Amino acid sequence: MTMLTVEFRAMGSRARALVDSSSDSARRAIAALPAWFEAREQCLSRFRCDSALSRLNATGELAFADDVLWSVVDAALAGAESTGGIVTPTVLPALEAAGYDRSFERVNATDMEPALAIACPPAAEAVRRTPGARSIHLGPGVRLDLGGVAKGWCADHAARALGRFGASLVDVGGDIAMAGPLPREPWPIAIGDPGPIGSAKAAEPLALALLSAGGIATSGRDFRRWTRGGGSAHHIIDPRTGRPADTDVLAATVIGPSALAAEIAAKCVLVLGSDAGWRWVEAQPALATLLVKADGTVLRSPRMERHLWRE
Amino acid sequence: MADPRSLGRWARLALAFGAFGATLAGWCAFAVESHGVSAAPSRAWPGLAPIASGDARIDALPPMVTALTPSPRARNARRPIPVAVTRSSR
Repeated sequence: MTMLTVEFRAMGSRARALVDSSSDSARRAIAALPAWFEAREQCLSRFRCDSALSRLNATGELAFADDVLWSVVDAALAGAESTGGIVTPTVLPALEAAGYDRSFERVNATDMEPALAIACPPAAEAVRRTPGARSIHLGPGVRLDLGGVAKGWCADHAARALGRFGASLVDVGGDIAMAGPLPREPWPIAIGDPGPIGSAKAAEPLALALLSAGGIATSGRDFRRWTRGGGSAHHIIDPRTGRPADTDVLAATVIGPSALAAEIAAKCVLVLGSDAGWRWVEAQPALATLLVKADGTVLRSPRMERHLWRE
Repeated sequence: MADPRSLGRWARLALAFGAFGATLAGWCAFAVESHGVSAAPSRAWPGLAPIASGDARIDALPPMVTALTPSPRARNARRPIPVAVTRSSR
């Protein structure tokens, strides 16, 4: 018995899919995944001027939005509601002001202009939708970033599609979804150690999670970071300040019922910081978390402990 | 001097081995097709078994997420090899 795997780049990240099947139909499905992701990226990327998202951001209005954009915007608005506005798609102007105005490989790593704080309006007020016409309207000056939400959403959907053929796992840059029948053995998933900021050395994983379904994701300020105005900047915006989150959490990993839910929760914990983030995540029985603080302290929630491999 | 009949037998054996090798190579090539799809070893992580649904430890677990733990008979099982790593986007 073998399983099939495919690796490729998608959405600015490494992607990998596995399905526990060796049938021809599974082979065809997994081989089609790179093209499937490319089509979603063409719709959802803010870095492609002809994407549906870029057209929406440019004009502030889009009628007859296709299913993918509609669904991901819907997921982003639901995420904003569930996190009290901490994870919101309206951060794009602030993200660009912080320096993340092009794909990460091309970000100016040492811009001397200080970052400006840009207001991030509440998503529920800034984004209006008309379901009948499938139209999306943005308030004045509002532009959306769907980055992390899009990754989680795509990982979940791709895993479900592969799950028709056997237990499946799809990893998009660390947002990992599992679907299909329960695997014969759980998927072993390493939780990466962010290590000291600036360290290029790959550290041993912090822990090994054993999961059969749902999702796991990590949000961190250890990698996508740069220098701006003499200070450091990163890609996680705190909508309360309109600047990169000033937080004592270096990386937050969350296990949840889907990669999308885990991605949104991990970002929320990172923005809130270790105290408020811990309380927020612990209040939700569907989530388990592991936090790495900037001082190197590692915190594991009791629910997380139950998922971890023990020697 | 070699017996011609013996030489023929060796030639037939060599031919059979050659055919077997070609078939094997063909299967290997089939396993690595376009898009980089490849056959990976089957997942058979040693020493792991799911917690029974009646186990009190999973009562508070999130829906859709199943915890697994080394079974008592496999305390010495080696650490499973991860199939993926979660970390901030790379």
